[in-house]
Amino acid sequence: MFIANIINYIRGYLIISAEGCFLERFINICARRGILLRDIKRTGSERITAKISVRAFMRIRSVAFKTRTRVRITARRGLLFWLKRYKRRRFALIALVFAAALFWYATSHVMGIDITGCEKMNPEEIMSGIAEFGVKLGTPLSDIDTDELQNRIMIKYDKVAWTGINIRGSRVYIEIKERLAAAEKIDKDTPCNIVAAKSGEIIEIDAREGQSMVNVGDGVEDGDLLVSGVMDSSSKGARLVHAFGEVYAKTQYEKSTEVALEYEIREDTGKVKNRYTVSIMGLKIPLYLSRNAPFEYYDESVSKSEYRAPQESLPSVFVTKDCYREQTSVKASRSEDEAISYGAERLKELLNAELPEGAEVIGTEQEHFMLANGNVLVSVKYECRENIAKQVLIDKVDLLSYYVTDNN
Amino acid sequence: MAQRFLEMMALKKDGDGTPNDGGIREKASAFFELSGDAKITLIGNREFIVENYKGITEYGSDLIRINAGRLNVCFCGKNMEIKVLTQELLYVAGSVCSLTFEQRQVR
Repeated sequence: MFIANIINYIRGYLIISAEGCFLERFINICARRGILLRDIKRTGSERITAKISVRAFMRIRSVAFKTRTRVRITARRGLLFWLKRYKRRRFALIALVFAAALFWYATSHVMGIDITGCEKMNPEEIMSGIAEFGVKLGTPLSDIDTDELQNRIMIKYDKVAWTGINIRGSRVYIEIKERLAAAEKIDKDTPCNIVAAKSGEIIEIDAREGQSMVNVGDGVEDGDLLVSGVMDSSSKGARLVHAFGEVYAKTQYEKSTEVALEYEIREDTGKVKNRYTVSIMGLKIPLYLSRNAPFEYYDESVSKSEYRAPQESLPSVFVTKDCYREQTSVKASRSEDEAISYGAERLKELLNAELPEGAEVIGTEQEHFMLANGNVLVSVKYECRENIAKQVLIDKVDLLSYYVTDNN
Repeated sequence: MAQRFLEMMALKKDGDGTPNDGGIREKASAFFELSGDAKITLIGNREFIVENYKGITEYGSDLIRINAGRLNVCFCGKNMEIKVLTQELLYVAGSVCSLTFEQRQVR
């Protein structure tokens, strides 16, 4: 009946009201003459309502006259009447068609991509990666194969241990699980060597297991063998042990920077100007006219916010806020000593942030040079005491000399 | 199947207006002495279809009396509506309480 109702609506029909004393006769004559009546309802003692096609209504007049029934049209329904009503309102019709097209586009194409689970990885990297695979804003949802996309992401990015992709509405949700770094510690029952993690001068050796291969005062490079796990004795022969212990060395960290004697001081004046840009589906709409910076001297900061509709079939609206803070520029100068102390302070802050855990600063060296351009080159060197021991598995090549010796 | 039949009836185009009482079908049924009784199909107590009926004698939301040739078929119920009315069939929906057959007095 549903399909019949749709077709009747497309053809158009009238809802009529018939009043009279011989309504049953009216109905019977309509039936005998092939005038199709639908949904006949008794609405009063001498009144019925019914649905009738437009063509059939033309022939009902004689029936109504014969049965002395008064027939009136109470409503007109159907696509025909609807189009007639909007015939003069073309723009409304165009807007309706446009809205329908927009609705179709929003429900069948990707409106947003959400990437979660990235801690060390950059989500923008994943976004550009999947764009290469053809998944970006505006891609038809039917073109996305989630299984294939998962495989491609895991093949392309080694740091990704697992990925899950769900499509809800018109949004694609990508969940990433990053690969954890392998544990550096080797099991205590596994034979291993101790090598240098970085270059330095040996100042203390505490080899609790294994054979020490270096002495205090030796200079070592990164990767040099410090304590061997291959114990060779004349009585027992060669045996493999799990070498462990600590080897302390002097290591160096150095940084340098150029400091100008003539420089500019920027101070905020308090004036702030904000410019907004609205972005939908990659289309950027600036909400300002001028393309030039609002101030001569300024500091700019950019922030981006996302506004998402409750419906997952609607795209997110991104609003980018460019905040310009006006600044004044004042020329200043510093003496050479001031430049040296300023540069040294900055370099020490950077070096302290870079020092590994456990490193102890035992000496500081500071140097400065005057450059031809009038600037001062300042360099700071830290000398540290740190444990450079790193356990590595014994390579079979290391054992080769022992086999050769045995064979001989 | 009844649903499909009703859809075909609802989509049926209106006739040209001439009553159909001397056609081949009627003559053939009379020649072969086929039954001229109405065929009543009752679906639960919610709907019923009457085929081969002669006309409606009385129509109301709680009573529908149909001329079925030698008998009058009387349906009593509540909120009964004629959904489809054609020359061949009558389809009514509503809550049917009782169905009665009455002998017609042929004059």
